[in-house]
Amino acid sequence: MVRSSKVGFPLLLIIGFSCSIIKDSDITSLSQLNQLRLSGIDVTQNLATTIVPTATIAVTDSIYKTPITTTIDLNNKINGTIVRQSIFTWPVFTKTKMIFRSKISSTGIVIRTSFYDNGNPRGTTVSQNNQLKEWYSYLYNSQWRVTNVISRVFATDTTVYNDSLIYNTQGYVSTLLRRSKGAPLVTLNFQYQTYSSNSLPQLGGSSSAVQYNGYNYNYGNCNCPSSSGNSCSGADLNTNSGQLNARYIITGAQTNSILTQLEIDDIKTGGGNCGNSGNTGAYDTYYFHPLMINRGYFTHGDILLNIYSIDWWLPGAVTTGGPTTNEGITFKFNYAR
Amino acid sequence: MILLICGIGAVGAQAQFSLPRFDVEAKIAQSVMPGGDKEDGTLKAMETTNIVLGAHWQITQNIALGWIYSNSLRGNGYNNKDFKFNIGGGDSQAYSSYNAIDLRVSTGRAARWRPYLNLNYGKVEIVEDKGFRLANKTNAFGGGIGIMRRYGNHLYWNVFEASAKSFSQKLFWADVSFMVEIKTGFTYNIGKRK
Repeated sequence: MVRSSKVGFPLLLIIGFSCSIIKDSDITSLSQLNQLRLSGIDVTQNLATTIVPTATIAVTDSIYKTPITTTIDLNNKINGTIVRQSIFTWPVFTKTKMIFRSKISSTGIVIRTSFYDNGNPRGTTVSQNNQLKEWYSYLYNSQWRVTNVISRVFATDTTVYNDSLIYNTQGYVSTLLRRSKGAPLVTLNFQYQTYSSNSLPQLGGSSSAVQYNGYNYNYGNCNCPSSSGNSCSGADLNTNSGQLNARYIITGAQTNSILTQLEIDDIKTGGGNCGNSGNTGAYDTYYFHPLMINRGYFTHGDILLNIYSIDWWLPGAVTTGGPTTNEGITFKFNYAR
Repeated sequence: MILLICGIGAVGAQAQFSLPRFDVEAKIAQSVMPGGDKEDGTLKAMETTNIVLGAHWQITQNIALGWIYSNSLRGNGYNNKDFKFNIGGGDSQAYSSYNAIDLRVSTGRAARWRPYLNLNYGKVEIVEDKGFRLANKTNAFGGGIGIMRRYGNHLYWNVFEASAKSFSQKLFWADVSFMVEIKTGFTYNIGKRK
């Protein structure tokens, strides 16, 4: 006869070791994580005067049957292979803070991003009814660091910016050189600081603003909630006359290259880390920029998106007694295996 | 949970028939797993509230060897906001579990208050749910210190226990490599008087 004392303890061990909280459907490795496919983006807008229902940007993936070999660099010497394309169908909003530089609206807007076999984006196009309206390209060096961002906006006044990105020794963009036809070279220098004891650098800490297109950009987390650390970043914008003072903050959630949420807030209230106050003008508008959906694929993509606020941020007009409540837009990214 | 109840039942049956030097324990634990506050939107920390069950065979009056099992009742991950010990204020769901062999050493035999140390080694599972579930399983080595108050021959109140576990691998999605816990609960001595 087997005594219960001889089976009880081993039984406990067996029972214990059989209880797992991990399910078969869970993602258990980096490769599985990187294989997640974006299936849709829920866009929720918090507007002061209008309730806009959450709309979804439908996303489909197209895997190339025959991958395309091309070059990834400015000098056309380094090969890369394009393997897939993501297709984003832009919804129609009754009212929105998000517009396009090419001035398109309404139906038929489709955004396409193509990817190399290592997951890096090659470029993004915006078209309406199959007519190309905007085209953004990324060029890389042999270490897959972005060296150039070329932005083309095809409207009545076609604009082409060829930006060269120069990095500091820590691997952050220190200078952006902007070339465009018929305009002098624009040089923008960026400085960095850390916002908590063990955080990586973020834009900010500069005594002099980044000046571009008549605006002064003061990057930092001044408008972020107190103690937000590196979870939040943004910028103040003003004109030399001091009449306008616009503010935005960005809050993101990201796991490896998988961006799960991005929120851009138009700050009209006082307070924040720096206790801001004062007239901030009418509500801002945001131009679509591909980094809003592709930020996660780039090293320090959060900083790139802040830098490119020089393109996507359209400050509201100077007003007397402007709005005192914040507006915002949130992108919630949904993934499928 | 059914399996755990069955497990405790097995211990009970064991006590009824053979009365070994044996005790079982049930505790509530609050764990914190610091992450790397590095980039915008990456995991800053995880915290979970767990129930901890265990059973120990008392080898001597001071040394006991057994098994502990822990499973989450709740938990949060903190990605787009700082942790700042804002328990329950996270932006994702988090769960943790561990199974470990546990060595407990009582460092005193006083009538009321008995301090103890423990060392354990086993498997830790961590899950973060942010629309999709990220899961990691790794070995962990840990230790802790606690104090229990004796109530009669059978019941002990584990007034306070602080412990830490070091993972053999970081979570693949975050800079998380260890866990700290505080616990309180009860230990019931099933067998002979300690």
